[in-house]
Amino acid sequence: MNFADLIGKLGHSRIERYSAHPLWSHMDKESWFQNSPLKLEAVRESWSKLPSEAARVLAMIVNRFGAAPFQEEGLLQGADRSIAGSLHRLGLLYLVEAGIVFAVRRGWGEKLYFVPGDMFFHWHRSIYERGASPLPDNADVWSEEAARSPLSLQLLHMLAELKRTGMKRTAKGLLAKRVIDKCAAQIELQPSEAMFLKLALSDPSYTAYPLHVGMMLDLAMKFQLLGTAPDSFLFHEDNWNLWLRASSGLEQEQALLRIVMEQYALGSSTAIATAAAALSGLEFMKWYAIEDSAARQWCQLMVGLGWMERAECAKDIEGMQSIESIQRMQSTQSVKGVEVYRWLIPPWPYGGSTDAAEGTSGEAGIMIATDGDIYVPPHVPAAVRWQLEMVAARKQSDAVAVYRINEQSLAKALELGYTGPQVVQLLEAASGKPLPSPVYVGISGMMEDQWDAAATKLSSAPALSERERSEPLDCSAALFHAPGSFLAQYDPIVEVPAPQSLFSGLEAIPSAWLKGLRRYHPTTRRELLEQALRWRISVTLKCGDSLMPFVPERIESDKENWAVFGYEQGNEEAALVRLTPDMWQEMMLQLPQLQ
Amino acid sequence: MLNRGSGPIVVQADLTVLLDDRHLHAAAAREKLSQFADLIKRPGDIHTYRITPLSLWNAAAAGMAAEDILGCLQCYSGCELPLKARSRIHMLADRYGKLQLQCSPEGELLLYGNEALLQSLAELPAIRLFVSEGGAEGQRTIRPEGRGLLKQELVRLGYPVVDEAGYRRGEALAVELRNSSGTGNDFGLRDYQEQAVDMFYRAGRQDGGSGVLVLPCGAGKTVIGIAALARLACDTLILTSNVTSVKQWKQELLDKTTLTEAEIGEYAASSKQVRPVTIATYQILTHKRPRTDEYSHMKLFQERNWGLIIYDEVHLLPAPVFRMTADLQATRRLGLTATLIREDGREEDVFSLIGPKRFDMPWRMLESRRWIARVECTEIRVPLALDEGDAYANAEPKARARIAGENTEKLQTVKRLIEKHPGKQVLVIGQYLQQLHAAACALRAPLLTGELPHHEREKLYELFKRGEVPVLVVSKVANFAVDLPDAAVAIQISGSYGSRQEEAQRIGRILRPKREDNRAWFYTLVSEGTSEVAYARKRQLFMLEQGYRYDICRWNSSAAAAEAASLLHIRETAQ
Repeated sequence: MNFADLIGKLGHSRIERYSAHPLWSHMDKESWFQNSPLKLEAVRESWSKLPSEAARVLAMIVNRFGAAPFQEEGLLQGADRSIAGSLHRLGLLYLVEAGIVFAVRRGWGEKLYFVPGDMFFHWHRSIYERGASPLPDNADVWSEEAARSPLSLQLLHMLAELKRTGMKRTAKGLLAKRVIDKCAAQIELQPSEAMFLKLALSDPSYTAYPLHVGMMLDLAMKFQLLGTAPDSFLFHEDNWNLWLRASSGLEQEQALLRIVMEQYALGSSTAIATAAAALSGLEFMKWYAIEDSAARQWCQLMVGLGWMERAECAKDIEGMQSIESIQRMQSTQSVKGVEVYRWLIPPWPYGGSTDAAEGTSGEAGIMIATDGDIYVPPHVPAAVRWQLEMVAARKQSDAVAVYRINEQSLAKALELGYTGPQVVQLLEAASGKPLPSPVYVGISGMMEDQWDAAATKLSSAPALSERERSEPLDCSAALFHAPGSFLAQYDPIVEVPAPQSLFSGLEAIPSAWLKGLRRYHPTTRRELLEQALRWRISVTLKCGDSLMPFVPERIESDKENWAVFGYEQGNEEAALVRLTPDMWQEMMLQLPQLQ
Repeated sequence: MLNRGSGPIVVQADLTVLLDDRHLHAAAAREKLSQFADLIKRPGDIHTYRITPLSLWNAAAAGMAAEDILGCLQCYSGCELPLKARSRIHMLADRYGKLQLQCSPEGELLLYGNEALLQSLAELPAIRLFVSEGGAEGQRTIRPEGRGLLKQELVRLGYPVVDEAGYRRGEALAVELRNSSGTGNDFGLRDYQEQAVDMFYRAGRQDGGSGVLVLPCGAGKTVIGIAALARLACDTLILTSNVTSVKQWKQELLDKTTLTEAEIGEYAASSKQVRPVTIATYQILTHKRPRTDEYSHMKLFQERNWGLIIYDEVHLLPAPVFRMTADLQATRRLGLTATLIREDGREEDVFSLIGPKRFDMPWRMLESRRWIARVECTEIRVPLALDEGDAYANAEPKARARIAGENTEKLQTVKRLIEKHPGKQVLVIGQYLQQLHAAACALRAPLLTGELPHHEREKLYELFKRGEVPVLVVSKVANFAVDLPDAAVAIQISGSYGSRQEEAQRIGRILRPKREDNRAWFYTLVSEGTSEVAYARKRQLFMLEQGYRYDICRWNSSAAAAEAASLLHIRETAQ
């Protein structure tokens, strides 16, 4: 669930309370409604203001749960045992009060906490500001694999294949094997690169497909480009046309990247989520050595989706003429270097503006050669590419894609309802000039049966390329309706309990237990410890001349004797200690400061 | 524009390079690209080049390093090159020079290189055959008889070898270039000819003495071959494509050197003279004795202690001669050609067995210096004759090519073209004998084909050279190595499918510089609306790569009066 989704559910008064919290005093109320996620600078500043206990708890949550929901008990169980659980509980309450962590419940069921998906990345970035250092610019980097087409293109290619081949589903509700195989052939992402996504797909039925096909279908459904009828998939034409007219390739890629980050990074595992968050802070077009296995897995997915590039770098990265690089050049087998990666698009959400990455703009038109080859430069709109997928065969996918009109492609175009004049018209519109006569003659010859029957208007063919900018792609709407967010089925818990509520019965205990160190009878000592356990607070023990802050974990007893097990407070390295009542002289309860 | 960056080219990850000819810097980019990439096609504004291992190694042999190539690509692309392409160019270009064949003082043939590389290569069965046991680190002893085959195999594996093992001297021959030709004119090498010989000879260094020199037709390749012969002053075997060329070589040798008739032998047709300088045809070398299946004339390679073998028109080298050449690696080898393109794809064998490209002179540069004629190329689209249209439509593809090629409408066009160039010597060249006979009859011009005995051919060439025969109809026997200096107009009425090499060679017949009007005209007649148009596109590639343009016109045969028959320019210009 994203921040905007939550805000929509919580109501105005609750938002006002958040915005009034001192933690957000630097931000205006409107930001709560306008930005999802909130701006990184605002989040950073709030992080710097967090009380230490709340900061510690937030770091724990981000590290251990990512944006996945968790129960309080789960948080406490994995916490540092040398810190009293009540401090964590208070820290959690603070975060809930401040609108950083949110709580939900379904009916009378379990209470769950979570950090909104898109906010998770900002918190991660604020907590772990320092990132990896890139390789020097003159590092010897090489690769034997070409960068993949970006995801938007792979998706377009696959959906085009789906349209050409057929969208009917079998009795089992799946596409036919032949169709699946053809769609798979259009996708450059390999199933092995998406293995960890199995659990993150929003519809479990997609796991019946090869993972890369399942992921594409999942995304297409998420953006409501595809829908389902009882026995087939179908295109949502309006959404699809909107998608095709998205204002720029890079903006489309970033919209997809955001979905992939929020859905698949956060939906896979915490390790992947934190890896994805860390990687989103790397500089665009700089090489980094990645060693963490979860980070590598995420990088491999990014490579498969055409957003990152993988290469090898000489182990001695300072020298360009290292022994390894020379051997690499000379050997029949390439010498293994260090695996390095870089972003090919500004990573969401920290990559900054896409303007610099777009490069200088060129003509948005295709070029048609006299031999029938069609050259598609990188900045040609998706709408034009879609048309080409319908009427031409793609020969090469690269920086400049190359298509070709041939008999088979025109036969398919006919089946899809195109006529010869329509094909000519869309090609001329896309290139901005008349077709070379050999191409015109070729098309008219191959489609001559349809030639005379052509309507003057385009009837069934989708819209041609449009040169004006249109509204940017709105992915948040897709997310709001995304079926995959199970939290959508939960009700937000608006009321935040007071910190005092964590210490029920406070008024009933002797005040002396809290005020100072005193001697107590062993039986009373046990009572104090049992109370500390109930409240998850620490105690202070006087052992000889020294004071020992102690976090009790449990009491064990037999018929006559008992002992308390616990940790020295604040000492992360401390081992579990066993104390018997005779090992200390005085004690008191340490109640946390309640704000 | 094709490119989001600022340059005229886009480099794809698979080493294809697309050049946008509309760009301001396209011409400069094209000139650079031709040094390390092969033009594949250029149908319109987007030209496709491909960088191959061989194109990179030839560039490296000419002194271009990987950084130079990458720098050039980067400069004309204006944006970052795909990493895979960059890596591959680096890897392939840098491989040149990493393996070297050298001769030890004891006369052993040694292969030097990185030890890990040598080890992994020596494990391959195809290489192990040539490698002797033992050898110090970074070197392997090679069986001398395997020198050629080893290089051939290594190139196939992607590892070019720089052969510095030296050559045997061969039998010494007293020969010098004359200062004046046999006809009394001053004679001296042109600067580029001198340069070409220098590039081949490499000051007598161990890495000199093998390679291919690429120059346009009419640029004096024969003179360069002769100059190399004189530089080395040794017994020389010259291989060429036809008997006419054999005689031309002999003539030039007598004219330009101090050699006597007794020192030059012709080994072709009925003549089997083996002398210090022997000129033979590929055909006779590959002639098989009936029933024995033996190449009975291959022994020519062992008849004398040759110090140099010259392969004229090396792009025509037949496979059996390659095999023989593999055993002759200790002999200097010089390849001469106007086009390195082989339609059978054996360019790698030329590289490994003859040698890398040592010199490449762009046609336009020679033209600008008036060393060859300025040629205008025109493709004329001729509609099919009425009765041939149906036959074409109903025919099989192979038959279609013939019908289109033999389009009878073309003869009218030929007549009009000849009338357009009064006083010029004209060659009418074609593929099909029937058509050529018809043309000769219609034009009342002599016909020269393979049917004619060699001495008859010589007579016709002489008549043509003297101007007594203004129009000569020729078959493909005249494609190569026929020197007709005053031919100024060539009209190609049919050709061999998409052969780029044939097109270039035929244009070469009219490239010799002319005394007064140093211009030449090449017309290629193509039947409109047929497969000939596509073949023509392919055929023209080499010339287009050299910077020539083809004006495309449509023949308007419907005009009533002869003088109204005109060429209508159509909207395309092949460029």
